[in-house]
Amino acid sequence: MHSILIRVLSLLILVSLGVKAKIERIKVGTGSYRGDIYTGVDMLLFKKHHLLLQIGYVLKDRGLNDFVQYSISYQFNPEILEVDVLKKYRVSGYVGVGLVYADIDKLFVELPNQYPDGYYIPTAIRGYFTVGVEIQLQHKIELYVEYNALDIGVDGYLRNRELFFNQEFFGITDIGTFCVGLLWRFRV
Amino acid sequence: MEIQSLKVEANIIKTIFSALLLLLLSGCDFSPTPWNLDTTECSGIYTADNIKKLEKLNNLESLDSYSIGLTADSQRYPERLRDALKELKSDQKVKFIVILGDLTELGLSMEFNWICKIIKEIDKPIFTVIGNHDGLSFGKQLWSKIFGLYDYSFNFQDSKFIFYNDNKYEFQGLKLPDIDFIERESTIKDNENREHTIAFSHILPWSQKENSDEVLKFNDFLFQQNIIYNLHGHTHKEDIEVVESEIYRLYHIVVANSESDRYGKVTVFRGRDSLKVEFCQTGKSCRTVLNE
Repeated sequence: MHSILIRVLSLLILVSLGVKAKIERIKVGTGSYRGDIYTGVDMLLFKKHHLLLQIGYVLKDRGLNDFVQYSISYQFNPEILEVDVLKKYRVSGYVGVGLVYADIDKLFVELPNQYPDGYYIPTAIRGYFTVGVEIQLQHKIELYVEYNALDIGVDGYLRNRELFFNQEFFGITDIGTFCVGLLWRFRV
Repeated sequence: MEIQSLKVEANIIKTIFSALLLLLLSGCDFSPTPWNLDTTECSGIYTADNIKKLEKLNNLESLDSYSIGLTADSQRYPERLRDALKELKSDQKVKFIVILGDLTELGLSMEFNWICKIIKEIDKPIFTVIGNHDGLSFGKQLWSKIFGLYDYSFNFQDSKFIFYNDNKYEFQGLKLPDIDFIERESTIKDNENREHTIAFSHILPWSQKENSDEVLKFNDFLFQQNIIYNLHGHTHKEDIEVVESEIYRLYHIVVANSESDRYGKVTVFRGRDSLKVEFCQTGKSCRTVLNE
């Protein structure tokens, strides 16, 4: 892994250790720029504030080899988005931001030698913005559905509002994607 | 009372699962990675198909003059590209349009799909040359899948149009531009009636060549192939560079980027050596910058 990513990860791990983050849940899911299948840990930083570290596997596509993606994200579950259905099923919404890194030779974090300084921004790291819903199915198991907009997509939307707004679903499917998965809570 | 409550709960669970199932089946994208080769929106814009479309037009009528629409470097501003293409679409003199590279910022499939949607709205043949930004990430594979070849050519109204890839940083290991290809395509065949040979590439010859001798040699080569007019993007600023030597005069015409709402037009007159070049701004009139 490249030095910038190591620095970012180190900083976030230090922050999480500094605030005595506790691993609260383990997640398994598919989609949303994190892999055909991905898993990760959900650490509670402060009340309602989570840090997630995830690793995902992307299957071989036509013309593209399989590869691994790493992602780190921050998630905020505000109380205002929590609803108890029949006092039994907790449905809660959340928002977040994250970074995903793809371990592929062709992509880069540090500019390869052939380019002049500052010629391109890194191609191996992308940011994303998350909106999601968790539904408590059982005492320790939750189902989640997320929409994630890619950084370049959000940037594109803001610069080309008329173009995207007039598309199907106001263009949100053109700039992002969905994922579903399960969360297993082992600290109640 | 308890049975009724259980029924309600079961209904809620059913509703939640139905909603999720609907979401899964509704065609919502569950893309596992931003670095994919998904080109869902890009069918039907293959270069070879556009060449066939233009051939039909070529066989249909002989024109005294016609124009070529030019845009470049839409990158983060596909909306501006759409606006320029709409204006070029409504101009009856414009017979085909060339996008001079950098259709995307990072060569991601998401960006290509945005552009494909826009191109598909235009019923005129649209041709492209690959830009340096388009070659990033998996842009090269996506490009081949969407448009086909990087280097190609066609004839239209007794002129030859040559499109070539000159992004040498992004195509390490290849000797670009492919001189052999340009030489082969620009050579006039027996019984061919040729008025002009016009070339299109993303980058001006000297933008990536530190060695001025190399630039000089390349311009000499272009002249030897009788390629007097060369069209480019890349620098984001409209410009006409005139290369003069004792024996020749070449033109490198640069079209500004879409962000600045600029586009261009080249008009070819049958039986006349020179071309007319106009630089335009969407919503405003065009100004003639070359008409010798």
